Amino acid sequence: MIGIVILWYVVFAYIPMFGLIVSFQKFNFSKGYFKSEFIGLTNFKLLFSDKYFRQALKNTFVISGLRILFQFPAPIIFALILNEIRSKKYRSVVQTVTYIPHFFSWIIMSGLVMMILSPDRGLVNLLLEKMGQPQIHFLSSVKWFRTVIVTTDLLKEIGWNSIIFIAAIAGINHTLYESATIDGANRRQLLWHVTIPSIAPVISIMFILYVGNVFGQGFDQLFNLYNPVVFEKGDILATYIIRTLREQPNLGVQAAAGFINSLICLAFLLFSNWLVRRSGQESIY
Amino acid sequence: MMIKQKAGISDVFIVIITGILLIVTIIPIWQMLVIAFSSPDHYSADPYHFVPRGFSLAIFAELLSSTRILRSISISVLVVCVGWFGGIVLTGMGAYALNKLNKYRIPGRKILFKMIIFTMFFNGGIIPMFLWFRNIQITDTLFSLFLPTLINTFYLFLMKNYFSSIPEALEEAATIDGYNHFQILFKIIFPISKPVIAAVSLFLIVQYWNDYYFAMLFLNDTKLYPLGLILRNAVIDRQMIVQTVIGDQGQLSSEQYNMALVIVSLVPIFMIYPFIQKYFVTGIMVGAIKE
Repeated sequence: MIGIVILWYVVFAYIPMFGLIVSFQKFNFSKGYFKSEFIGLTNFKLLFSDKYFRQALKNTFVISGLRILFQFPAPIIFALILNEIRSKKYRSVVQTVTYIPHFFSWIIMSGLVMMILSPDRGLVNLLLEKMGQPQIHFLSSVKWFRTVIVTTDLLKEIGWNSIIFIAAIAGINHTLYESATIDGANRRQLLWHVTIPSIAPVISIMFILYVGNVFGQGFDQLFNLYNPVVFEKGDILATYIIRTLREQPNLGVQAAAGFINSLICLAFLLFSNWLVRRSGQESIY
Repeated sequence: MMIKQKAGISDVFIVIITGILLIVTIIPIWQMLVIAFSSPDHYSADPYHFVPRGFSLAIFAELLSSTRILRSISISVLVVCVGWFGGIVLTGMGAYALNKLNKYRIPGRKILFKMIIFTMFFNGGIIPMFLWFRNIQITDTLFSLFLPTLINTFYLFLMKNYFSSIPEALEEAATIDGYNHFQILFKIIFPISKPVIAAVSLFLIVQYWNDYYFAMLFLNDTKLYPLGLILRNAVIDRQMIVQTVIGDQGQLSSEQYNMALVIVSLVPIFMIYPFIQKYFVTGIMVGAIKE
């Protein structure tokens, strides 16, 4: 049984990993892995001399940073708000509806985002027009693009990402609330002194996981929402690789860019895993 | 859990915040429905697409009479079925075997675990994969769409953790009855592991159904394109579906076609959604925090 699983890992994970040697080669299709000429770090030097690569590297960090800043806390706040809803029916409606967009692909989401934000016929711009404001070209505006990126992904995932915090809140011992109430705690005090401290361990684990994973994310969204006008704000390493692969294929250079991208993800995953261990939790992986 | 108190400022705040979130989520979906189900005349007359007028299935009829769309739907269905089935079986076998390796303390298991986990931390990226697939000649075949994502290490550990919580006695009884490992896995363990199988199934089905990435990279033959890639070409690359698929029906708007195509692609997801919703929490919780 394990044989076929190991075989799969060798063929689809380890052999492609070995294929990273092309990032040190002047790769030639007819010569293949073994006969292409080794050129040391030339591909990497070429990359760093490309200003679009440096831009993509910077964007990868900036956009990941923005996601950590805004998209990480949003589901926690949302879960806390949900917990305060008194009507069970309304709460389950809010949950069911906000889970839905998680299952939309970014192609579908982009279709909807383009529809809503369209300069001429989009709802947002029609509203702006009604209020006497000038039109905004959200998706081709250098100023607005990152806001759109963070906001749309936040709205898409807020429901789904809140599930784990909702489960954590549901697991809090009821007697804590009862005794706090007897001591005269009001609603706000219950929130600050019972609910939030009780879910703090989950929050810290999820934070570490989020930081570990955020650098590997975002390709689907950006690849389907961006356009050449906003490359300077939205081109990340993953999209840079596919974009250059289609425009000017030079497999050695693009493999090198992929190598750097994988190394960044690896570094942050190792760092976050180390943090989990240090915080006394059993490590995630 | 909430202790009865009078409705106050905070309740108003809560309703406003959640209300805004509901509206922001529902409006685009609603507009999409209105656009796709309107007759072309009403569509062009009303810029807001807010109030449904002139119900019409004309767009859908056109869409579903296109052989290119129908072919891509059947390819997607095929990839989903094979990928889902293969993924569940292979992941289940891996999960079962890893537990057994642990139980019998088979030498080399630790290094194997580390090697498997390492693939979650690091991968070769897309270029080496592309070259390797060219070498073994699975580019331009449907194999390239499901083979590379058949096993997801996260789901593998999700299942492994779930299986390890199943009482040993069940398996021992089955062994005495003469069951082999395959029979134990598929006849004993799978039937009682519904929550985790449902959760992984959901993830796999959605992933294969929505995929366009591998198709975009590995397929040259447009006849093999799955629905995801057709959808991308229509919606994102603005290849006017009116011209490329339907022919010369100029008065019908491409936006209507795109939205109708989006709705078609959402049907299966909404079909499985109600059945699987109750397993969401298991799916996320079992693997996220190992205790």
